[in-house]
Amino acid sequence: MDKIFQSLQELEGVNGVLITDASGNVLAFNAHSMYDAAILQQVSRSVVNALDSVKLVQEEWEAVTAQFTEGRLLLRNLSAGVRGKAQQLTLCVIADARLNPSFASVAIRVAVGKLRSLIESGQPLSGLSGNVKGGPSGAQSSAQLAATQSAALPAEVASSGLSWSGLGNASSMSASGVAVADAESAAVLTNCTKALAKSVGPIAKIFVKDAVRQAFPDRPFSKDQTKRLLSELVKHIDNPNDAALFQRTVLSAIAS
Amino acid sequence: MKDLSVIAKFPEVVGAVLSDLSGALIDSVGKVDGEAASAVHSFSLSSLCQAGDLLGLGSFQRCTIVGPGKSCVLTIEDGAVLGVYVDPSKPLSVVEKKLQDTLQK
Repeated sequence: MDKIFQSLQELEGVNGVLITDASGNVLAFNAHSMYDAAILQQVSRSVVNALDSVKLVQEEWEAVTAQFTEGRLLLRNLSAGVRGKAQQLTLCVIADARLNPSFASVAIRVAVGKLRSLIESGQPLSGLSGNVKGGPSGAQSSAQLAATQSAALPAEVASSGLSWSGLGNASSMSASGVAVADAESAAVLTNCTKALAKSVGPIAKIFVKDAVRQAFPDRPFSKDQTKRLLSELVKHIDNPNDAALFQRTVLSAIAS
Repeated sequence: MKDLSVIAKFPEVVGAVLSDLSGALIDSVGKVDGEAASAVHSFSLSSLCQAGDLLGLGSFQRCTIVGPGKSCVLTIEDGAVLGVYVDPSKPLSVVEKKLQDTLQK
């Protein structure tokens, strides 16, 4: 299983691979640390909602590919063509704009074939675990995912798809090492990530986390430290115009 | 949004459905249940956009759904959801290209 995920992760542009069941539970995953378990769980639910809807008009779907301006989400039906009664499972591959669709198509077909063989052999995929590449704790099991999922996230942060820990608890540090003083401070980090992503792509969240850790290693990030944070983050933007736009965007979002 | 009949003339296309973002049918041509498909298209795209947003993948461009019986391309154009159903024996990428060219004109 790990080898199958690894082969997909080796494709340029692939940032995450996960398998989800019909209820939207993540059974196994391997993803870059910018996608934490809580985000993948939310993604899994959205994907299953979409596929449940698709099945109303196309019961025997095999592949769904959603293309976005900065990446792709490739979904494959692992249960299609499997002999016997198989659990409804979906392979999700998350990729950025660097992905070569032709290479990916071949690699995913190979991976799907191997995964279907595992399913036919009766191997329980739910017992397998994936890991976050570059993540703090390595392997993450379904149980850990469920625990992460059950942790309540502030509404405004959760809805943005970005999560920052330590809200309302200045002394706590998250597993990723990023703590924030309050909900407003978390919103600042979310705004920074979204604005920075326009220049550097999905890796923006990692840059923001790293900048917070380096600039404020011994205390939670708070809103009044925004200018210091921005001065760190603009170092990742080569174009001076884009850097200025980034700072204006974040500051105007905070002011409004 | 272009007239659906233009898209329906592509030899690979078997049907097309145009709906608003809430899933209400605007127009349909060919062998497709427009009422059912329009709601499904809008809901599916809404969920996929949510996933894309969570993953920081940017704005939605298009989606392809492939199966043994039929294939479909979904896209959002001028605030409307366009679903184009394609003969599965024909290459989907060709239709995607034609669709893109047509919508950009």
